[in-house]
Amino acid sequence: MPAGDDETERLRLRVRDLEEQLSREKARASLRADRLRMARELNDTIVQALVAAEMAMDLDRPEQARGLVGDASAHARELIGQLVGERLQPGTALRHAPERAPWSLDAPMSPHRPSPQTEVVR
Amino acid sequence: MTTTAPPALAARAPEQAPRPAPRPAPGPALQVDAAPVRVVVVDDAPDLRELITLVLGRRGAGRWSVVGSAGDGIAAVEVVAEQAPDVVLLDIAMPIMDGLQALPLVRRACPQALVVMLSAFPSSSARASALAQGAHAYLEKDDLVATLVPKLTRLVQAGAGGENAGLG
Repeated sequence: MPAGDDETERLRLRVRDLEEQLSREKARASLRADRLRMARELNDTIVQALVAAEMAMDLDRPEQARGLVGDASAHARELIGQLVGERLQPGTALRHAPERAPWSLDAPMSPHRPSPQTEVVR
Repeated sequence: MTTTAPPALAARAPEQAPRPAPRPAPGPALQVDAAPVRVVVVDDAPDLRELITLVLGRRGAGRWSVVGSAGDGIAAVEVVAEQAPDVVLLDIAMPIMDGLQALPLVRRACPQALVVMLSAFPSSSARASALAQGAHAYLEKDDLVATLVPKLTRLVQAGAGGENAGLG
């Protein structure tokens, strides 16, 4: 094979490697963006509502606390619905349809460890 | 409440640590026992604004007065400029303009105000960023009913130098 063809082939492989690398980086960035979005939504809806509910309970405001817990529950269902791709009604149990869940419900739960993304979210 | 540099920053060599935004020189501390301390509460959750106001009212023995509130960073800057409060409770995660973005503008709008950042969950990077930008304290919204007034009291009594007062 002429030297020029070798060089062309080498460059072609190099371009292919770079394209694959770029594709992987894009996928990682997309996953990271999704996780950040979910974390922000969790904070803005469920966490805020539960923090407020706890405060309301401590201040002897059970009705307000109940309302806030209800809000948190609704937001949780909405977020899970987004993850599994359908709207969940109150009382929906993913355990009854594990194939819908994006994770294994049978797997043992691992201890919570903050992900690196948690540190990025404000 | 954290008022000192986090370990990650403290461990760095001094020349590598980010230079904190200048805080007002520690002046005479506010007297919590005298006139009510004027507070602006900034949080995008209306329930939390209401409950924090309630905590200051019920647990503060009349020594704390919420003079304004806002639901985002831009509104916060306006309210702080208008009210010139003694203390600003500034939530970090907010729409339109979050607390960290608003922090320097709030400091500029009212340099004498003590700014306490609020966060719903622990984040060492958010804490470090807030303190580096000139916040006087970083407070997690955990058990606020029991801890908010005592911690604010210690901060206010320590004055603008409260970050060195060992407030926990």
